[in-house]
Amino acid sequence: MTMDNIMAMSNEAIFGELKKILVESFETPEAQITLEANLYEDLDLDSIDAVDLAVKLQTLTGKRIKADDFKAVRTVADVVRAVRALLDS
Amino acid sequence: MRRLNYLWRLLMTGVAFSLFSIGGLMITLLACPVIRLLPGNTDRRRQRTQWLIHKLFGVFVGFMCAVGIMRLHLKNAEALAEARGTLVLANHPTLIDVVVMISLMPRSDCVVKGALWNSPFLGGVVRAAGYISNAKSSEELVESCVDALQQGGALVIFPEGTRTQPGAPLRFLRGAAHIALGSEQPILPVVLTCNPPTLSKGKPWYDIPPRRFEYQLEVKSPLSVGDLIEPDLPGTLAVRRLTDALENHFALELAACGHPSH
Repeated sequence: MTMDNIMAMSNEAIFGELKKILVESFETPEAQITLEANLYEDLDLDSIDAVDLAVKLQTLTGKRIKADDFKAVRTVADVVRAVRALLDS
Repeated sequence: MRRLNYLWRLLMTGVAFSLFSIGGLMITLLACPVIRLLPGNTDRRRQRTQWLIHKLFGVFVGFMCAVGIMRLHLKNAEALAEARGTLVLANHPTLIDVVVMISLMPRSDCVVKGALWNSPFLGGVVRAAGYISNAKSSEELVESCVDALQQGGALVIFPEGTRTQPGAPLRFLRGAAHIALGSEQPILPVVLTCNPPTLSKGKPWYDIPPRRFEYQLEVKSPLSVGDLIEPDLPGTLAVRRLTDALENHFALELAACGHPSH
């Protein structure tokens, strides 16, 4: 994906990329990944995984994520929103 | 006669619990100030405190055996005494697991609950021993554990994170795998069994078994990460594979001891 494509990414596309990361890097069963799913309670991520996830999203967007912004993230929808905000910033 | 034996063991279990609390308070009040006055740097003080805890836990375990509450069976326990720069992993059937293990280890590091770290009775002891408080973020906790190992410590970790739920399958958290991957130090598996089960999760101290319990500690051959998972996995996958591999390893060892973990 080129940078322009990423900037124009729809929320659905962000969700799709996030899903791919979760399946490939965290072995999350795809069927469990819904917008409402809680990363920690439903998808079995831990706080160290969250740091890894943030790094992967930085690579995807080419922008730096502030650790504090990511700490408040709980659900998949929160992650999509955080990536959206990052792209729009 | 049987009833008398039951009452005796009940009484002695109560005495053992009291001894433990009183002992902790005594070390905080008496031994810690003495250790602080002795010459030597923080590191020496840590080692002396760890040695003192080791000796006192030995007395405690000896007491429980002498009064007939428990019988201790050791296999290859010397490997624990000699462990340095080693991640010691054990299953966690009872409340006394860490006590038995440290009674065999002149030097040991372990992770303690934040509540214990700040406790007025035992806080002084665990801080002087340089134990690691779990009241910090997971990243910092893993980092502290890796540091302890790389400084030559023998770090005791119960990968289940808490005592085994009786009857439930063995379930490891990922912390131990994070530490093993971060430190690249050898893993020493310790398999603990207690028969009849007692002092397990959710049981009060006075719920004692019908007879003296047989407590077995067996130190298995050391493992390295390379024995357990394929090389060059990305970190997030490596930690999952290693957690599964360790969990399976312990489940098999326990099954071999006649403790099917369902």
